[in-house]
Amino acid sequence: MIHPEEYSNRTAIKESREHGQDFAERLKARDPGVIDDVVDQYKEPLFAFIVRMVNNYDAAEDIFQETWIRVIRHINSFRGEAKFSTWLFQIARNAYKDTLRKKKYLCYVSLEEADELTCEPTVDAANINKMEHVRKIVAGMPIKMKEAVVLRYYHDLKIKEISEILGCSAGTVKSRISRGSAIIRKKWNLLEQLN
Amino acid sequence: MEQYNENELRAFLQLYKVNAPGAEIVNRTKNLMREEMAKTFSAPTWQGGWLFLLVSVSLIMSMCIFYLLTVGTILRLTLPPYMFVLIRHSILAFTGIGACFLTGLIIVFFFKQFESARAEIS
Repeated sequence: MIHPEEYSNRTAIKESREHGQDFAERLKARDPGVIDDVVDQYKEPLFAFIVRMVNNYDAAEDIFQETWIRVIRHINSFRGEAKFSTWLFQIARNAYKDTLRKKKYLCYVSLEEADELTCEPTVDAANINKMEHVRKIVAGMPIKMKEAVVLRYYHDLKIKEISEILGCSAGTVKSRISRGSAIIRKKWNLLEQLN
Repeated sequence: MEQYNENELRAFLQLYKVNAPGAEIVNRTKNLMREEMAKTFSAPTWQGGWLFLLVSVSLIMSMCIFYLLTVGTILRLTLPPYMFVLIRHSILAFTGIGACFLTGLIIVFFFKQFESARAEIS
């Protein structure tokens, strides 16, 4: 078992409110130098979030671009009440939801299918490596649970921040994380049994 | 539901790693952002342009009314009725010339702002 301290956690968001606020102010002032700074600061967590949500690198690249263009277009609507990263992830969420609506080739699983997924895991332990198993488990999760789980466990966000990004209450977020974790746990147990 | 350690779950999920975005896509994104920034930069100045347009149109209308009430009235009193059509045409011509002049001014004003924004970004 990997110790939590040993994670190579590039995708966790480490941002002070002042730092994000500074980026926002510079973007509002149309400072061209801020583009390199802000993209370099958030590119890894943002891209990782999008890839895990859409499970498709090509689509993720398009959504990544679309997110940053929307940031430039709508920066004046950022009022600084939330962290800049929270606002950025909200924009990314809207962008991938628009893409998921338009493109059928992407994996989209409704909440109603959650129980079915927990009973019929599609993992094949004999042929695919463990990382691929985890990828499949995450990709197969219902999108609302996946959002909460990804933001919580890959990006180390607090429940309050996740609720701001997802636009729902903290209780709903906790419930989605709990249900999502239960799905992962069941599939994980099955994987261990197969091994 | 079975109790489990959150750290264990986190460690399990960390096995699914995602590559960082490629340099090409990052650079392309930054260039698109610069272009978008240049476009949106000219937007606030164009809002000032609307005020300029409104004032200009009001000015043309005032001049037309002034012309109609002064020169037009005198001409109506002095010219024979069959020549009244010339007064109407002169007002239209006056308005048209003014509108062309103002459109030219607005285009020059808009492109000067857009050009200065592009220069600042690049």
